[in-house]
Amino acid sequence: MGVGRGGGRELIRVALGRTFTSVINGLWTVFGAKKGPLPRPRSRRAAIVEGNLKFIRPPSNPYPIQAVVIPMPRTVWDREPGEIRRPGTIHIAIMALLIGVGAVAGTFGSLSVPLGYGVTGFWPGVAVQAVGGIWFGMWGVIAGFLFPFISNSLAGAPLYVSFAYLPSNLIQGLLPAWAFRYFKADPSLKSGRDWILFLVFGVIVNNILGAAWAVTALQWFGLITVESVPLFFSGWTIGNGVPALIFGAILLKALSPLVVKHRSFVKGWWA
Amino acid sequence: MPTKMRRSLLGYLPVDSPIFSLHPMTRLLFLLIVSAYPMIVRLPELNVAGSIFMLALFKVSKVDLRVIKNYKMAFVNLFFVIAIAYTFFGGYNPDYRVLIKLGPVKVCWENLRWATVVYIQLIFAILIMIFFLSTMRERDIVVGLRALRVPFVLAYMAGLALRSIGLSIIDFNTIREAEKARALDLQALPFSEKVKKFGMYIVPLVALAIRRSDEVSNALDSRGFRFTGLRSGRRTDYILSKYRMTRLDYAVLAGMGVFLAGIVLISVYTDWLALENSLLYRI
Repeated sequence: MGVGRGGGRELIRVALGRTFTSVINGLWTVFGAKKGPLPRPRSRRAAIVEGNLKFIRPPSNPYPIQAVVIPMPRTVWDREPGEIRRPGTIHIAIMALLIGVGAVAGTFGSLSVPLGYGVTGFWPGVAVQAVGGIWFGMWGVIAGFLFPFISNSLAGAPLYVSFAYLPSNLIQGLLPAWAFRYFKADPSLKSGRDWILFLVFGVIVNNILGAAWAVTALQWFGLITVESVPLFFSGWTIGNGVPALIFGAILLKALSPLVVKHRSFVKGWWA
Repeated sequence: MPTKMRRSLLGYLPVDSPIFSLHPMTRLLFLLIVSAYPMIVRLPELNVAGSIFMLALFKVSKVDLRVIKNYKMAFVNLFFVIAIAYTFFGGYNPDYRVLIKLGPVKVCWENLRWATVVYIQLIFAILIMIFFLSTMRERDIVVGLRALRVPFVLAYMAGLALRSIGLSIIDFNTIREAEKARALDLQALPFSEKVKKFGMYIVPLVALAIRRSDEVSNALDSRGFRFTGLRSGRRTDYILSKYRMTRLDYAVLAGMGVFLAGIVLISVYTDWLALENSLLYRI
């Protein structure tokens, strides 16, 4: 392909085409994965490891191919054969430490671009909520709805306002945790489907629902007027959505490969 | 002779502060019970009285009032947010008295009055929170929870969570120092970059937390703890045995409880605490 005008247009066309195709594939696999057959294997490795069958080609005698039944976990969420998972002290430790990290991140966020009542225009704590829920199940979700108590208090929000935000903070951690487990998405965000699931459930829907509850609670307490609901709603959604996208994606991409091998990783809800 | 101080969650407090004569459980319940007052009462006169009472309590407890100055920006910001929310987004009713007309925006007395009520209410609530954070230590919260017979695992988790905030701040400072050592000038960065930079600290902080969780978990396992508590059964709670509930504690608890019950009953059965009785509503 040339580097001239035509070449440039061709490059753009190909790039756009690939983006579009990956988005369509992602959407199809998110909403059609349960009904349709398994996607066609793309690589040689994927072709020999499919389902619970592993086809082994012995190095000494390449023919014939032997089919050996080796139960293999297809996703990070599937259990190994004979694997026993129980909640332990590691989960208590990770939950407490996540509360600490979240409180620090949340307090800085609450103080950086404050909109009042603990609502902020930029709250990195939401990344800890979403990612904590995905990695550590209910332990991360609990940490995610407890640490805003501390961060809001340190940033000067009254106790009852922090109580009012409890369901919002619960949703923001619970929804991505549920989505990644239900759709068996990879926390390392390896495919377009994983990205779409993260965007939909870890960035957009969870924060919209969280914001909806938060402004309803603030309005119920008489702290904001009905007319100012859109202001606080958009402040919460954007202030949480942007950091959730940026820091959540960075955290998942950077640390997921390590976390899924760590004993604190939770495949189910509690262990 | 320099005064001996104890570190609290928000600063330092003299060892001879009268607040330390109260059991940590009483101080913990103070937050929960007294925080309910501004939630129930909207009458600005009572909330102003509550704020003055809190400031007196700060003085009696020998809390350095400079700690409130740290919240100066939070108070100012809250004022502007409430003022904007209630003037520009306050709504309009033909019965409202228009004070100023700024193009299509009508600044009405009724909206400003409501903003004042909300602001005074929040100041009282925030002062309660600052007082709690200024007078409690991590250990006090754990002792308070243990005295309330909260299960070991929850009390331990609360203690570890509070301790991990300090650890995270130490990690945070270590990361910043490392960046400074690599010639990053934080002062020279524009505000948006600073905000982004602070957010990015989450990644190393989470990584360090995951690594530390292994150490904490191994320490717990090696000391014979498991998920549900001690493997060997019951054991004397040493720290809890160092504190005794006194008559003063019972008196304070009874006072707070009676006051709360009184407010609830008055709010439910009478209109004495109704906003219409406020001076602001007679103007």
